[in-house]
Amino acid sequence: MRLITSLLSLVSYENNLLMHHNTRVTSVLAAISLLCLLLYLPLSGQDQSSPGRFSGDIQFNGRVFATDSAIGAANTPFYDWAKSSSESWLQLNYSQNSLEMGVRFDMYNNSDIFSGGVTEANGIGIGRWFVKKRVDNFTFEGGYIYDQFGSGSILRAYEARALGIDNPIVGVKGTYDLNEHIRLKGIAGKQKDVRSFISKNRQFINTYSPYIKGLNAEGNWSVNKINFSPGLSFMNRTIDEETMATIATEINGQGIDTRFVPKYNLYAYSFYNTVNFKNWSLFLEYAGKSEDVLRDYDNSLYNSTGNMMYGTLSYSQKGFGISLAVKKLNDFDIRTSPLEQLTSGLVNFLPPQMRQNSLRLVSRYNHATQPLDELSYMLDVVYTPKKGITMTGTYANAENEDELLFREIYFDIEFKRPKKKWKIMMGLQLVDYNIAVLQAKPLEGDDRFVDTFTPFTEFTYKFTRRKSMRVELQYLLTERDRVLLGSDKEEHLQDLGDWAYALVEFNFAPKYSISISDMYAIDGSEHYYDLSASYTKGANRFSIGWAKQVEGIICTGGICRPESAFSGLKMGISSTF
Amino acid sequence: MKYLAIFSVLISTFLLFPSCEEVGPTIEFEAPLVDTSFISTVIPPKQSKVVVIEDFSGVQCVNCPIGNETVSAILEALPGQAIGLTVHGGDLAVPYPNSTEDFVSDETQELNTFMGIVGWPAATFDRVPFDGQEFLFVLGQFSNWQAFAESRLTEQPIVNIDLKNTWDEESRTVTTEVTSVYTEGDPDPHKLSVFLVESHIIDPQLAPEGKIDDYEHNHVVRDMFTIATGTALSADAPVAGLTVAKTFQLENIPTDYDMNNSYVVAMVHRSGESREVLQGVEKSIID
Repeated sequence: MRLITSLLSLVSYENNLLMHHNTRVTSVLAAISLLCLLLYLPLSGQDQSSPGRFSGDIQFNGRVFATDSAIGAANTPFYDWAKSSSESWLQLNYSQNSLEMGVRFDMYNNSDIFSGGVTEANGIGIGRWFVKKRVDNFTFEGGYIYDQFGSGSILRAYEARALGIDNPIVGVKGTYDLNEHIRLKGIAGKQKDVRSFISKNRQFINTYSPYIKGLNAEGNWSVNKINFSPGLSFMNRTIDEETMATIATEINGQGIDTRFVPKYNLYAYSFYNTVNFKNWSLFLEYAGKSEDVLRDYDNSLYNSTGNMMYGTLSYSQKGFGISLAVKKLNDFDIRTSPLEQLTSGLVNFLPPQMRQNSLRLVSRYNHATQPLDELSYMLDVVYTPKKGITMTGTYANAENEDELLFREIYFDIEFKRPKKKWKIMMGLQLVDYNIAVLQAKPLEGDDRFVDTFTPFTEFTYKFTRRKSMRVELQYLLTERDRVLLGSDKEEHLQDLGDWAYALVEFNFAPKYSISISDMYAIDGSEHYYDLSASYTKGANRFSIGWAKQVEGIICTGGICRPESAFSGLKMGISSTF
Repeated sequence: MKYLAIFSVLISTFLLFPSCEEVGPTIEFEAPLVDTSFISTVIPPKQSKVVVIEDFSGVQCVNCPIGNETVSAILEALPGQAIGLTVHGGDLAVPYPNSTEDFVSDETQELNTFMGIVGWPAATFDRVPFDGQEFLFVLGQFSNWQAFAESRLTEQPIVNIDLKNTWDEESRTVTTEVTSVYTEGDPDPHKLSVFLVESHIIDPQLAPEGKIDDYEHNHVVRDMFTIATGTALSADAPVAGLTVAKTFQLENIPTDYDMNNSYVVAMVHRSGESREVLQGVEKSIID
């Protein structure tokens, strides 16, 4: 306890210092203090009966930008003057008996991950620290807390580095195990504002002003081979006066008939339960929220309550699995305030109903969850008729009150015969993508959809136990309905048109991998080459590659962001210890 | 039983919070009677700068009469160049049992909150910060007030304001036409605040020498034609020549308000991070 107090007082001391001295100097001092404390702990004999344990990880991404006006990789700060960028995260954890603590050093140098390649971001300092202690059934934690209530529908504090999302709650959390069946959890604090971390006004702790607090109770029981995991959650967000003044100013600037008195407090709740019985699993959740200020597609503010219904039903047995998921969203965007948009200030998380595809062209058009109005469902089937043959099929559909948003029909079959040196997977994907809504990018005429037809194949051949080669071939055809199905739609370019993709990868397990690929824009006659190599030894991985990437949308778990074209060198280092 | 009690507490918490009523920010639900704008190619000459002094006061604030007198002295020293507004609000503005007037309104309370007033008497001078001051307002320091006001007169207003008032005795309605003409453009959004002000009101007031039952209250903000934080002047950033004409009305004005001692004050101010008052104007209701 004395050590925790020391750590907290150190942090507090650094924070006080910050008020009078240079931010960067203070942040460095704070980092050194925290690291010294971590190093001191094993020697301090807090509990000699059990040795402490260090763990951690590091990730480094570097980019060198090479102008290529033909693909749009030009005229941004990265190509004009920055020429290179990097991001790095170094996490150090220390645990001893029931005490855990950690600190993460974050570094963004002319980073492009927050803006998707539009403006550079800079920030160096402590991105996260936490102290966690368990005393009997009670665990408490202070610092930057990542956690979620249930599926995250009303509260999820998480990190998605590729999108520049880092929204832990900076505050305190307590967890109490009532018995072996029930766990209670409470959390209070403010969400980290990573945009302030990368701004010139960076402080040692950067948070949004609105205050968030929540309670969660979860249980787990088994009765006659039926397992129940119910839960209920409550969350309250209180907007601060300064933020509210800005919101009120914006409301007062709207037309008289669209004005309303905004609420400082948002109250959200959710009830959920998972039931497992033999091969069946059923999850049902209902979440609702009180009146809150939301921003509509026309960028106007409005006032509304909201709700979410989500359910999944799945069945699995040897060689066969099927799952159905249905979700209905109605004005369920929860943010620190309506002034935050895109990936900023997200308090909850609503996963999309779509396949998580990995192949380049198959994953080109992704659905982004539309929290204001969406009804979506997805049916997934996996069938293995006999050993070595696996078939996967998916039907996903998302629509709002007015129109279809996204539809995907996917099928693949994989042949992997025992003791054979080769493996082949081939499949087909059809997507209807409402680009007018999902990217606010209408097409020519009245057309709002990109409709695609994408056949693909992946072939792997093992020369020896350690040496193998993998080949991918994909073709993305746009205007599917007109070209293949004889629709009388007017001919015009949909988005960037058709694409062809080929990849050849050689793996020399377990250390080396090298690949070359080309994504070719048929209509634009542009090549997007990628030459990459990686070296892996133990927990260390080093990679380097020369790439040209097309502009588009980058998505992680239904959260999407525009991404500019890229041309240049990419480097990566990751390690865990 | 123990678990039932715990879950009851949790459920109660869930139900208790949303039932709490809250007071939201002020939203303007009434549009001006007339609201027109156009861009004139003829740019008029600039008006002389007029500084707006907001004197935050209260009838039970012992030093507030010093603030009132200081403002009156400034107005006398800078005729036609300064406007005074006495804004009653906060803990010390509660009327005495023998008070006949309550100078506190929703608008004056909100102005106190909006300006972040933490003590009385306090004053703002065009709502700009001054060197050496911790806040946007000045707490006490009466000897500096005139210097603060005079320092604002070196500014050139980028907007001219004209007022035209009409009074209808029968319906006790004041109609005010405010015309703002920009002589320069500006990147910030601007707002217009319009006040109904009354002077020579006799009512109790605490003073350093004790409670004065027949104290003369001057420049008292009685009501506002706009919401406390002002109404937006235009949707876009103003450009030179932008002319905005807005007409407001206050109906059923209480019979104890003496219109012979009342006047209308209008001011154009920034509404972003800065709250600077760019220009002010006052006009009596009955000439």
